[in-house]
Amino acid sequence: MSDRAGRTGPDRPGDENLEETARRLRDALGHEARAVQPSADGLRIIREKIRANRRGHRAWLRPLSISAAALATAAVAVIVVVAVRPQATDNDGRPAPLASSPQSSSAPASSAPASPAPSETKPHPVTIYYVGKLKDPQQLLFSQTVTRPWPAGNAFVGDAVSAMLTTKADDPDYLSYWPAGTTVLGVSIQNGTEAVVDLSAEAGNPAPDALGLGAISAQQLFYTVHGAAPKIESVELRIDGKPVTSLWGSTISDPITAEPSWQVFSHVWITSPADNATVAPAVTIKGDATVFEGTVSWQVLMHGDVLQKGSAQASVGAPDQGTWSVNLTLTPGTYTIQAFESSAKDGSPTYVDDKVITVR
Amino acid sequence: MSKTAGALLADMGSRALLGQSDGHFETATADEAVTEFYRTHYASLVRLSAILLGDRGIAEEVVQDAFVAMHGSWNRLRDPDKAVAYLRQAVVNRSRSKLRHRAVVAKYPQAPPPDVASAESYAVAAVERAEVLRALRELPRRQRETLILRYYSDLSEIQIADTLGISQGAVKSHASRGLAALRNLLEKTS
Repeated sequence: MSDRAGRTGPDRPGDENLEETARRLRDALGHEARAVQPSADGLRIIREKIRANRRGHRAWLRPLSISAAALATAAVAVIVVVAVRPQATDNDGRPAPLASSPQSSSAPASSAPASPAPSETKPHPVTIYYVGKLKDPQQLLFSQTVTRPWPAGNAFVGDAVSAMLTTKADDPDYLSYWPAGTTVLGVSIQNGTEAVVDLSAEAGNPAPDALGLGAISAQQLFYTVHGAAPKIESVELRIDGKPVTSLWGSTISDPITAEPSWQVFSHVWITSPADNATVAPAVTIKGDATVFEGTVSWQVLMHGDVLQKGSAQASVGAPDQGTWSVNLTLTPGTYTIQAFESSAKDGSPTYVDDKVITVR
Repeated sequence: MSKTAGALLADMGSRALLGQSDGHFETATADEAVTEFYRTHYASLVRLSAILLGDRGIAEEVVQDAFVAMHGSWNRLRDPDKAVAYLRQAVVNRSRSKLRHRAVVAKYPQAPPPDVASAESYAVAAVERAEVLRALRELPRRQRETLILRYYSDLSEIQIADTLGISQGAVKSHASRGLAALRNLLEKTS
């Protein structure tokens, strides 16, 4: 704080307290900010409002009637903007829920009538959660973001669940225990905050290694849904139309609600580079972490030998998930980058995430 | 962030749409700007507005309207730096008038009571943060805004001065007085 001397504020003893106050303020604001998850449809609403301004006032407030006619020929994602509820009219001033009408991922796109709306062919990111392979000491969640075509009918929830069921993670340590062949039969959203997800009968027949992983897999489903539609607060799971209260031998709540992230997210994630990525010699390793006091340990290995190691400070400490990064310079070759939390007991690595990278 | 395939696609879509009405190149560029700035700044502006307002619900609406306003002023702005400054200013001003309009501060959610006995350190941290935010809300408006732009948005004194429409000297004094007042409030409570 080199400019402190020039400040006009009270310059009394205990000025280091001001730095402490600044630190606490920064921490509190950062934490508060992270709790705010903007919804996924902001851009669509902005475009709607811009178009409405152009067309004349308030036209966009009129709800469009939704015809059930399927766009049979337009299997390519020609998406029509479905009515946006006027946000300001909610009693409590909250924005409209992300999806207010039933959606089904397997049904063809529903279409709005009237003038040909602009096509939303834009691919969009979907964050899929996976269950970690290692009992390290427990199998917890990791995430990977993939790019998906804009879902037909704006069925973000169904699309995200389908992505979770069918997308293999880049990192072989990130697994999904949902049985192969499971499909989404239907998704509906009630009251804007409750998703009902109906999966096909396969979901009830786990492979032997999935036994005991029902609870964490239910959280995997919840967080994937919540990532696609942040206003969703609960997920009612149905298998072949029937509500379930246990999954693969574990009791799950009905509906499924969020367990706090510090209990279900693996403590350290490497989010970039991806596993098996080829990178330049100057590489930035980035990740998320939910660790005490935000201290993330990392090391670079080649053939099992530790070449470099250190620690990085996450933007916030547990119970929040902060971000961390470290800049490395490596000579060409293939390396394993490990990031982990040092155990409070003996400093040994726990909650390890690792990526193999090739430096060119 | 440089232009991505997605942004280009969206841009092409807007041009096709606009071709029928006015077909101005400028308008297509404004659409492109909205798409790009949405990608790079929307989330952080929503968070800024939520912090200024102490209310998460209407922050998105504030930011969306700021984007609509930027789109309308695009011919004047052009330069990305100016546009970001404009967005930030619009978000601060609109958040302020919402705040004036409705007593949303009173609705500010209290930190949830610590319910995890096994995680005392977490609970203490949560209580401390709630105290800081509560104290922040007691500060005069300029001091509060200055501190939020400084310690959440990490803006320089010049950028804060620009955003709030005050002098750099005023920013300095709001920042140091605000911080000292915050410390005093926190000392009182602890």
